[in-house]
Amino acid sequence: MSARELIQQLVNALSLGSIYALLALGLSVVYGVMGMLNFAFGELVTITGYTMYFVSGGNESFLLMALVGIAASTVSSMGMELVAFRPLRRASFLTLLFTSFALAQIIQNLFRQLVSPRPKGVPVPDLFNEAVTIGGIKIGVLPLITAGVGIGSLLLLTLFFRRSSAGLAMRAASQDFVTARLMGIPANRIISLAFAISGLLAGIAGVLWVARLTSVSPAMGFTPLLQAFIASVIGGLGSLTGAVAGGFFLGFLEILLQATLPSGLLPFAQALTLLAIVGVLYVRPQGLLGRRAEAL
Amino acid sequence: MTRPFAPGRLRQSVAGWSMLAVPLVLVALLVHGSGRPLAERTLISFFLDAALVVGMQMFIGNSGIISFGHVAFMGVGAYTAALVTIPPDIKVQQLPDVPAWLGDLQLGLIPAVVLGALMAAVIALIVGGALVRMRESAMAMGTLALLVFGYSAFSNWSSLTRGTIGLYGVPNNSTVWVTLVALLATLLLARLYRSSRAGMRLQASREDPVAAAASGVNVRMERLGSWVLSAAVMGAGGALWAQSYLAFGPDAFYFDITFALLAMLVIGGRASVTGAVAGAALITIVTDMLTRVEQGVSLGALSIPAVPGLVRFSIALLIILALVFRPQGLFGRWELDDVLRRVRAGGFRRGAPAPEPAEAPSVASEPTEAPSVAPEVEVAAAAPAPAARVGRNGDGPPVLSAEEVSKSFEGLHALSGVSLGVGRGDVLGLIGPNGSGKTTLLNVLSGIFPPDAGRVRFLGRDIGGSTPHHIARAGIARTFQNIRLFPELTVREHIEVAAIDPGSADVHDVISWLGLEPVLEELGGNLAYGVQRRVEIARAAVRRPSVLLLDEPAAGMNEAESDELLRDILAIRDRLGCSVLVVDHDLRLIMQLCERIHVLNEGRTVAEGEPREVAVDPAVVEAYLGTPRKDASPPTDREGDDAG
Repeated sequence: MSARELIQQLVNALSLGSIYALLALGLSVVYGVMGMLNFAFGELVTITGYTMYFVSGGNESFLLMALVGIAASTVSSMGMELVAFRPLRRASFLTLLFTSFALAQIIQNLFRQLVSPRPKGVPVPDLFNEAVTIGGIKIGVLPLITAGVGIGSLLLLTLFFRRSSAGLAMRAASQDFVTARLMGIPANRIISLAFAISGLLAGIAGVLWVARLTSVSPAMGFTPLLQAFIASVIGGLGSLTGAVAGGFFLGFLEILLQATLPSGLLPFAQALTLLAIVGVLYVRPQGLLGRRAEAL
Repeated sequence: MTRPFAPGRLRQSVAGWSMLAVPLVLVALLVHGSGRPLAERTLISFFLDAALVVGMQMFIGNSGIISFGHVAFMGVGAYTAALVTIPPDIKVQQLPDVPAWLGDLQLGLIPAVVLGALMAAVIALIVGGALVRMRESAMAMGTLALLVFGYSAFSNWSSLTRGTIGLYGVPNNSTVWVTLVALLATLLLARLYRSSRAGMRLQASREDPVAAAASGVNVRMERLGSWVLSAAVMGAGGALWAQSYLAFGPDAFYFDITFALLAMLVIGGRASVTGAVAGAALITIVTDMLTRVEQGVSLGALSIPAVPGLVRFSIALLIILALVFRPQGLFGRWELDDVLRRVRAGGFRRGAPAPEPAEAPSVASEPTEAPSVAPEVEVAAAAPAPAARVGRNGDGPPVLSAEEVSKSFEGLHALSGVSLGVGRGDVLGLIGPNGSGKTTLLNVLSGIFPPDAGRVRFLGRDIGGSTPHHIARAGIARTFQNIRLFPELTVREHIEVAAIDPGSADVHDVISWLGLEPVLEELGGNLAYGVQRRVEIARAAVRRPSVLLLDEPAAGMNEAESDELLRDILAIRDRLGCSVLVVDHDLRLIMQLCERIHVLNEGRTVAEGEPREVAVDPAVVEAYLGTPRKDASPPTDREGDDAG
């Protein structure tokens, strides 16, 4: 592989990795405070996409579409928690998992019934298909924007977690929710906040995702959910830094396999990615940055 | 090895199975007699779904680990069956690249089902070897990977699967009677497994893996065994499924059916076989009714228009409702026969202790099923093991010893070179302020943490760094500071799970030693605090350990309770002839109970000797009260103990 290709692939990996990192972080924030895996998380991406599709009808600018989409995702996420998960606050991990699984089905079916089971196109600026030449290397605009927006959002979020008192409360709650409550952190507010952040992240990732796909469909949330789930498990479920690391790891792994696999094996790329990750977990069952559990 | 069933459990599970079998046979007779092919079709698909759900229940229900990957095994069974049953001419037409031996092969129903089960089991064994090493949440992820992996293999391995187009021409062998027999066989297998010792051990690990391992359960092996068994059932189920649906592609083995089967399991109650069947029945009935509405119905003048997508939507809603009102599913952890028995006994759903079920005395009258124990009367007379009394007070080499053991947690030295020995029949007290390393030492002795340095010797062998279940099986039993019972297992089951070796004590003796008769059928999670402590001690004692490690058994007890505990501990020591190492803050208890006391402070031994000497040892006084120069600060009473 030439240096030029290497840099191109590196940008691709950073762009895909930053989407995955946003998704994984969104899933982990909720896992941290509630100990639940939100299977309806992918549907937040779907909601973002369809909101953009609805707004796009009036020839609006992509930026406006994106902002409305992100807002819709954030509000939906908080709504989900209020309606479906709050009544089950004390339920077991599996109960919450299945509730969110069922919620995901309901949302998917709503889009299927109310819009259409078929994919709908979402207009994206022509700029996204162009490429810029930097130092003699041609790089797509979209991967650059994606990587920039993704990494920028992650930095802002880090700032929020490190510097604000709400961020500190979130970090405390994701380490030990019970103790955090005893220290006077209000449970409902912190859980709402976690879902809001989760929805915000899903929204940002959703916009970037739609920009790549240029269409929306009822089941589009599945792949983002799966990747978020995988990335946060590799990173160490519940660890926020781990989720980001896992997201980038997954992005790099996917691009690496796509670039190096012989064409006969390309259909198996996703399966091989999973296999590689199962391999990682074999060696480090607690994930890259997770804390070690009690021995068995 | 012990027999595969605890006394009475075999008969109980067969009886429970027949309670499920009879109505199923009746329904089959009724539907077949009615001569309506559509109803028969629905019934066949219900039998198949129920068998598949029960197959998933065997792993998910007993291990408590969610699996999204079981449908991949169903697919393996279905493709295997299709490849060996499709008539050669149709097969070669669809798959021109198929090897000649396979192309010419045409087998009947039973060999196809057996092959399907075998293929699934072999793949499960390979995958499972990696899976069981992972933590629970990572395992769930691994099973999801399996599902995606299976799907991409089915879609892309065109020479055998014809890719996304799929296969057709499978002969229709799965009749009502075939699927009925398959379901009944699956149910019997699942019931037997659930009540077997292996199944009970896995259920204990579902409730608390650490406590199960400390009771001698090899958690990984139990998980692997159940994983392979349930994969084989899924493979057989898939083989039957293929011979009923006749044409299919890879989409049949992906998220839709995974979701449908898991929904049945969760709504019915994943921890019970009855629940799995009930969930399948409920969803089948609801789906059948809704499908009619979905296609539009006319009831005389009233006609309801078609509502597409209604089925999936409603089932998702049903799951949420079921989970809100019955988080553990319709049947929770109970089987049909349990429910009937508990209703009859009047103890179901109420907190009051359930009276002994009718069959319990009959168990005691079957000494043949407990061959390892001496006849009842003798044991009940509690013949003290003579060896126990001889070597009292630390004569001879210690049974269990720590030699210069050190353990650190990220720079915190929890133990620095601690040595202690527990003599045969000894009762050794281990005391020290909070954070002095007592629990860490117990965790090292019982294998929960390996020591960083030093040795742990037990009966002359170095056991430092062995796994908890090896150490437990070798003869060290323990209790936990923060009681670790199995919340969804009954008291009787707690003791049965731990009675793992032929040398174990008789379950009924241990129950009577600790006075647990009134609460035998209560769930661990519903017990009063003092009773929980006694159940934990019973669970440890039933294994006739050489050494019993008790971690703060008197915590939270008042004086009368701790006096009772004292008598219990001494009685068990005398009956089993074991040594006891007890950690506690209740100095009154320790002084009365122990012949020798070992004092730790900040991870080091500060004193050792008889209670009288230790009580006045200046180093001990200093450890508890601080140095005389400072203000005498009272001993700290924080709840959080030791680095462990």
